Formats: sequence, structure tokens, C-alpha cells
Amino acid sequence: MTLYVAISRNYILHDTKVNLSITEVCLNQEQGGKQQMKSSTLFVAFATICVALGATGIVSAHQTWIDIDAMCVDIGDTVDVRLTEGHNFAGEGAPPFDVSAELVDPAGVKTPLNKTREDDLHWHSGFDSDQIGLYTILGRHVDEFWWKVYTGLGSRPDRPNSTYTYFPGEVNWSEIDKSNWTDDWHVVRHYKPYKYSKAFVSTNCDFSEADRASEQPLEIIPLDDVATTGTGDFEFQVLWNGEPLPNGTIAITGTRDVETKVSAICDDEGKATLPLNISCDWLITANAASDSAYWDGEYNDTSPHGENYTGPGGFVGNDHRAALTLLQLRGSNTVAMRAEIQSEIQFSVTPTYLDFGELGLGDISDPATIAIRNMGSKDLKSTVEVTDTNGLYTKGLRINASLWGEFETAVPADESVSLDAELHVPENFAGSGEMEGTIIFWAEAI
Amino acid sequence: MKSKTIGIVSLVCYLLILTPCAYGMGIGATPATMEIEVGNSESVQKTITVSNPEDAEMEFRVYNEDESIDWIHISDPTFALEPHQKKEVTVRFVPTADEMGKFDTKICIVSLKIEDGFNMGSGVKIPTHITIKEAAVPVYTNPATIILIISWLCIILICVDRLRRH
Repeated sequence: MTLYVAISRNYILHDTKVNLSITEVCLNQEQGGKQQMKSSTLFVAFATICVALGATGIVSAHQTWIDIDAMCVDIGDTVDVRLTEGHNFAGEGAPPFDVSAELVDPAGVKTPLNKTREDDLHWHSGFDSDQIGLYTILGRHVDEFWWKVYTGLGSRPDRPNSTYTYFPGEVNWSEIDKSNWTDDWHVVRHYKPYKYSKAFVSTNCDFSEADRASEQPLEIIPLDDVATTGTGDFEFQVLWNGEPLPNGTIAITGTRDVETKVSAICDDEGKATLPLNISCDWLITANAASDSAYWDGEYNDTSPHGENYTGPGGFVGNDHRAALTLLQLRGSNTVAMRAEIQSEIQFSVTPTYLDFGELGLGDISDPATIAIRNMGSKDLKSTVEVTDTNGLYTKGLRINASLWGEFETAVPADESVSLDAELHVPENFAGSGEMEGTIIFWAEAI
Repeated sequence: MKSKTIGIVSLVCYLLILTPCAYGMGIGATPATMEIEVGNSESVQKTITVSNPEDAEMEFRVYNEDESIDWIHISDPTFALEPHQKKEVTVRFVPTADEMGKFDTKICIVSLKIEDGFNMGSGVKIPTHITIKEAAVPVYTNPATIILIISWLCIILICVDRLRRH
């Protein structure tokens, strides 16, 4: 059964497929950049019914979220910020097309986070956490246009229970195999997805200011202390351009994995409570309830459709989604603990390059000072190994006036020793020009 | 006097610019030594954590110093580490049935900066003492045990057969 109901100029209900349990509620928006959904009793009532009917029909769309290693970091740490897209909190690839990120530092200053690289799974950026307090990372991903097409039950061999088929980008409709499609197939939506993501990082593990809005167009705000995530009910608020949407408009979901999800519908204050009873990493997402609200756009009666379709055409507009990454904190509800075990052997040699200058046969270079710093937990015995192909360094390099092969020194833990290296050019050396060789400073625990 | 002042100021600026860029050739490794006890035909593995303590990316190579021992396998013989990154490298000891006794070798981890001229590197040697013992043969696979069981079965069958004839 297909039902089309015009509610007002701004709210149009259409394309209600009861047998599919999917109802599309669309919100036609006035021209202009900022769209708003207004209260409507009928809208709310209908949306509520839609939620009830549409639960099985909600298609798990690509979500984009921020991956970070930890929410509590040390001051001075470099925080790796990664944006990924996928389903059910499992990343499947780097988000394509328009991706950007911003950082709000503890002082409230917003700066762009530049892309540093991209791999198969992530769009990478990062920052140095050099201030005490809370950092908020904001991501924005604008995907290409997608087509949502009603193709009928059994039209997708990969998803027998699905009645919709999705296509990205440009589609050549005449070349698509429609043999499994119903004869009233039609474009339901042609939409551009806007995906907003958010994550928190704190250098003092204090998230008391995480309940402040960061001016994302669609934003999830944790009202409870994120340090308590995983201990029970957790209240969120979802704002659209800083304001709550009518009761029933927004669905919020907490996802641990494909099998562990909890959902709720936001009330007229934009608030909803999720039972986050498992201590683990959670991805909180928010989008139009029952996948049936259009944020803005208009019908296009020239949209492609089957011969028996008689509806108003596909809806062309935007879609907005939000994601908040909440990671499990170490020692939540207690004092977070951290310890870094020193390497047993760790040392550094400076400088990294020795230049003995221009020398003649029989010459002795000026001494070059080399420092060995022991940063490990054990005392070290250091030796030197020299290799070359011309014999210059193997025969002529002296460390602290001894031939390198006889050199050995102890470097106590947390101390440094300095050495003098000299090059004695043998009288009978035959080569000329720049001479290559290698010196390795070896260390063993004693 | 004026040119001398400019020279000093220039030198100070030069040093200030260069100082943050300076880094050394560093390396970190844990443990400092390894004691391995393994049966012949068995395998044991140990993990070495290699770290880059420097502010620049470094390349590392891990190898067994005693090349005559071909039953020590390194999981990642070469790799690069970002500044202050760590990596766990697995060393597997898989002696053959013929190997028995005590062996001493060193697992070497080296980081080398390759440039034209005189190259520098830093390395860690981890003394590794390996004791290979004869692997304990499970009772059920011991040939003597199998012969004994078969003998007892034969005796039981013969006894049963004789009892039936009587």
C-alpha cells in the first residue's frame, strides 16, 4: 500500500510502504542554508507510528566516525585522529570525497586539523595535546549523492528481505538490470549525505565540559559524565543547528558491534537515554528516526521509475547524520592509572654524522666528540664495529686514542659518556675522494 | 664592533634554528637477555620489544648473530618505526630432532642511518642462551608402551579363546 499525505508546505509524508515497514517522512525546506524542522502534532504522531512500523526496515547506512586511541592522554602526547566509515562500528574504509576535521582546544579555540595521510581504512590527522583540559575533535564528511530506489521484495539477491537498492553517483538507468525489480520501482530519494562526527580527548581525564555544544549542524551532546559510560543509563541530547527537534524526529543509537545495539527516540528537548550497560567502546549515532525524515529538498516528478509507478517522484535533498565516539576509560570511576615501563636497553648516539674533513696521507683528523646517552634501566657495555671497503676507517679510526676494535666502555643507566673519534689516514692508503664506511655503536646490558 | 655583534647574533640564531632539529641515533630493546629451554622438535617463542626513542623515523633490522644456527626465526627482520613508536618482534626457536645441548648466540637489533660518506648506526645485542633437551615422548606414543599394550591384548585374547574351548 502506498500512501501520500501532504501535511503542510514544509512537511510532506509520502511513500508509506506498510508491507515493508518503512515510512518516509520528508521535510521540505525553504531555500537557504539553514533548515529547520518545526513542531507538528501530526508529524510527531506519524513519526512515532513510523518508528514502530519501520524498525525492521531501517537500512544500516554508511556511518562516518572518529577513531582515536584513547580519551585520556598525557600532556604533550601526539593524538592520532582518524576518520573512518563503515557499519556497526566496524571501519570499512577511508571516507571518500569531502572530509575535514577541526579541533576545539581547552581554551575554546577552534583550529582546522589538516589531513596528514590516508590509508585503506582511515583519513589521518593529529595534534599535540600541549594544554591541560578537554579537546573536542569535530569531523565533517560530505559524501557524493546517493540514490535510494524502491525495487521491491526479492530484488536484491544479496539481501532477500530488502526492498530498496542504493546507488552512488551518476547512474545510467537504461543499463541497469531491472529483471528482479517490481514494475512500480521508483526513486525514493536522491540525497547528499552530511555526516558529522565528534570525539573527546582530555589531558587530565576531566570530561565535565563535554556537555557543551560545539556548533556542529547536527550534534550529539553527552549530558552525563562520559567517564561513567558503560555503567548504566546515559542521557544524550541531539541538537539541530543548536536547537532540539520535535519529539520523535531523531533516533539515537549506541553501537558496540553488529550484535550489540541500543536505541531510543529523542523527546521534544532532543533528549534520550540509552542503557549503556556494558563497559566497552561505544559509537553513538543520531539520524532521522525510521530513516523517514527528509531534512530539506523537494520532489522531482521526472525521477526515474517503473511503468506502473504513479507517485509524486523522488525526493531530492540532503541527509544529515551525527556520530559520537566514546571510548572505555582506563579505571573509570576511579583514579586512572598509567605507567610506562622503561626499556631495559635504550641509548642514543649523537651526532648522527661524522665528517673528518679533507685529509692527506698520514694526516690525523681533528677529534670528533661523540656522546652516548643511556636512557634504559640497565647499565650498558658499549663497543664499536666499523666496516668499509677501502680500509680507511677499519685501519685508521681510533676511539679515545685506541683502535676502534679495542674500544669498550661502560655507560651507567641514566648517564652519558663522551668519546673522541679520530681518523688516522695510513701513509700507504691508495684511495682518494669521498670514502664510505659504517660505524655501529653496539650496546649490551651488564 | 658592529660586524662582530652581527656575527655573534647570527651564530646564536643559527644554533637556535638547528637545535630543535637535532636528534641522535637511538634504539631501545627489552629484554636485555634471554634464557631459552626447549625440547628438540619442539618450538618456543619469545617477544622482543624494539623502540625508537628518537624524534625521527628510523629503520631497524633484527637478526641472529650466529648464522650457523638456522632454527631461529625472526618474525619481522626489517621494519621502520615512527618517532617514539614501539614494536614487538617474535623470535621462534625451532630446533630439529638432531639438535641437543647448549647454544649461545646474540639477537642483534640495529638501526642504521644510510647517507653518503661515513654512516652511523646504533645497535643492541641481546645475549641468548639456549638449552635444548630431549623432548619428552608421550606415553601413548612411546614404542615400548605400544608393544607392551599389544602383548597384553594378545595374552588376554588367547586366555579368552582357551576359556571358550573349555
